[in-house]
Amino acid sequence: MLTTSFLTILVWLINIIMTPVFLLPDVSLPENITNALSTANSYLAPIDLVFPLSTLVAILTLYVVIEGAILLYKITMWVLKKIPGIN
Amino acid sequence: MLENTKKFLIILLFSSIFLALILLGNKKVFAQEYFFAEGSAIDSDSVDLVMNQEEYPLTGALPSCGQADNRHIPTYNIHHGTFTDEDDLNTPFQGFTFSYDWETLSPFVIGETTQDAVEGVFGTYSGYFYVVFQVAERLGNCSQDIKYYVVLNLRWFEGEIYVQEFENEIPYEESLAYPIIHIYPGNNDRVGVDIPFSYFARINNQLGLIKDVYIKVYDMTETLLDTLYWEVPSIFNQFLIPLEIEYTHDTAGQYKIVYGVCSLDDVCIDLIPPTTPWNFSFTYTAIEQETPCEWYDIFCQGKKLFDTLFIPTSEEVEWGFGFKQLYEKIQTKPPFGYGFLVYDLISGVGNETEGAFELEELTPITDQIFTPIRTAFVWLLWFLFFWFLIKRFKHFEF
Repeated sequence: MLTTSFLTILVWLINIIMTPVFLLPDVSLPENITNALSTANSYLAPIDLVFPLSTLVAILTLYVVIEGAILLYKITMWVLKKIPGIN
Repeated sequence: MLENTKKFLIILLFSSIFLALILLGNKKVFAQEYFFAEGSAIDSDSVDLVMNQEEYPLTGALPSCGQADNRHIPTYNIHHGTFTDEDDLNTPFQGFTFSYDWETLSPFVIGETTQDAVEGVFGTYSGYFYVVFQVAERLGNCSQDIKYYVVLNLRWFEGEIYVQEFENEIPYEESLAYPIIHIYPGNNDRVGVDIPFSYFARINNQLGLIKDVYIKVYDMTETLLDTLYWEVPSIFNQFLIPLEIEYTHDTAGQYKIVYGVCSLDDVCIDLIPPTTPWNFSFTYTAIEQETPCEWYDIFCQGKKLFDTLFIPTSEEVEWGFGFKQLYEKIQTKPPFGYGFLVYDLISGVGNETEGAFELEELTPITDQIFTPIRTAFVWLLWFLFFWFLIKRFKHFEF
């Protein structure tokens, strides 16, 4: 009950913070970029026989996620430090 | 000495690169000329169609149904489908069919049904190709006259068709009788489903793309308890097979299983008819039932209180506390949505992307050279990543 309530409130708060973002229209990539990436993919695919591109993509994704999380942490701490009484 | 070693290593490196370039150059295939069937036995998952100019005869034991003089006489059909996308896969195939007489073991050519046909090139085609093995006749005292079909594989092909003799016969086994799905007992509460060959089933005398796999669970009195469906991944995601299905029944005991497939147009067939005796039964582990607490049992009441306060119910976990909906919303909105879109586009590299060209795989080269190199790269990349991670957090100021 408590865990559920805590997590639900957390999601609710995130939703409130993200409201301006949710008001924006859905994203879509320009067709040229989609085509370019698809073409690049099709030429890179055979290389995966020797070099594990799928692993590389997974690692790069993890890297971006970690850096994003660090950035978010720093922003949060910066905002918190602006509140009087919190160092 | 050191200088010589250095020279030797440099020469070795350049020689390796040169050799690799020659091999890769030879392996680049845009439209293969010839189309062969490769495989060992029908029960192994290695049966495959390849496009190259080498010989890959099928091997296997003589089919029989129990006695030496009661043999199946299989005819081997190759069908050529002209469909180009998934929607068309369920339409009847137009193409050619040929039969092969295993008594004479003579070579054949696609499009001809004469038993003394010779191997050779048969026209230029493009489309998806697959091989159907058919047991057309049963002799002796075998009780039924049943035709079995196995689709071995499906490949896109463009070029000339060339067929050569399959040298040996294929054993008659259950995997031939029920070729598409094979269910095996795993742990006590799991059922595994293998789709060893393809996504096709012959339903209502038409070869169709499988949409769903289902399992019917009966009790020992043959009362139907459950029917569970699982969607089969798209044909273009062949790497997703085999499926492993988890199923838990709430009462321990013995159950009988019937499994089957449904085609895209929702026609379903049981692959083991429930009217025949099963050899297959399965024991499920019972889900632990909650026992009521006595009012004076402080420990039990305390545990119950703790569970109620801190442990979410399975429905709440399934719901995800709203995080799932949040995640779905974020996926479509800027700036995160762009990241998801780009990731979707690039994440298929090496897994599902259809290459602009193919490097033809020769098993010995792939196994002995490419695969070890690839494995080494995987380890190296993960090592570098974890090295970066350690260094990143070592100097991180909280």
